[in-house]
Amino acid sequence: MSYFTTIQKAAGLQDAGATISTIGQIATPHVFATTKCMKKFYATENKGEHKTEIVGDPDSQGAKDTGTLMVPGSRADLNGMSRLLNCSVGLLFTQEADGTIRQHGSEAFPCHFKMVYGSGNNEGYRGYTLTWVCYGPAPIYTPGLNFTPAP
Amino acid sequence: MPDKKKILPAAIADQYQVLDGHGVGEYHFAGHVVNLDRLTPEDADFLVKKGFPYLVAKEPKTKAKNSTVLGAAQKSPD
Repeated sequence: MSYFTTIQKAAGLQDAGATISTIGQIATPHVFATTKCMKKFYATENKGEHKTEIVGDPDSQGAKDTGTLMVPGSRADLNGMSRLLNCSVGLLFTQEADGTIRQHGSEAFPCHFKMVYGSGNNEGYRGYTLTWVCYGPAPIYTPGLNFTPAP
Repeated sequence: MPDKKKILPAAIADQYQVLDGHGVGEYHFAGHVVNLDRLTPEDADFLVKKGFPYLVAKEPKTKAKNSTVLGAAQKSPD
């Protein structure tokens, strides 16, 4: 499953650690603005993936994170989400099969989204394809996902 | 009608409180779906031991520091 939040709504966005053992993870929970939290939505099993690649020239390399998810259905609320995401930048969280959660995007380099609809044919897939691109690796987010609006 | 505000179960509210800035509701942690308003003491202990950051142990209450001092020096009569 995948989850979306907007950086502008986050009152306290946490960074990854600074040592070799902690740089690959964020261990402190993000703090959201009042009434805000992560939003969850469903994505079809085995129809999504993400990867990180190394880009840039020698002595100046960086990481680029990209991914795809497919959300089934043809719905007004997903049309609305599509319009919002196509005009927004933010963070996205993905949960892997063993419960590991990764954060895609950061305050400096948020995810840029594209979400498009396809009807498919009678034997195909009807739904939305969400893709994202951001610079930087996708650290593991150990605090877990928060679907509870901040008080 | 607005939703009733969720609170921690009485059985764990003495021992734990929610992390500052966070509410009582649904979290997903290490493959578990956690609903804080329905947590048992055993679940709470298990999650906190596993590193669940949204539940914080409360400080144990201590006895009052200001208590009557016995055997205070008495002023001798003139």
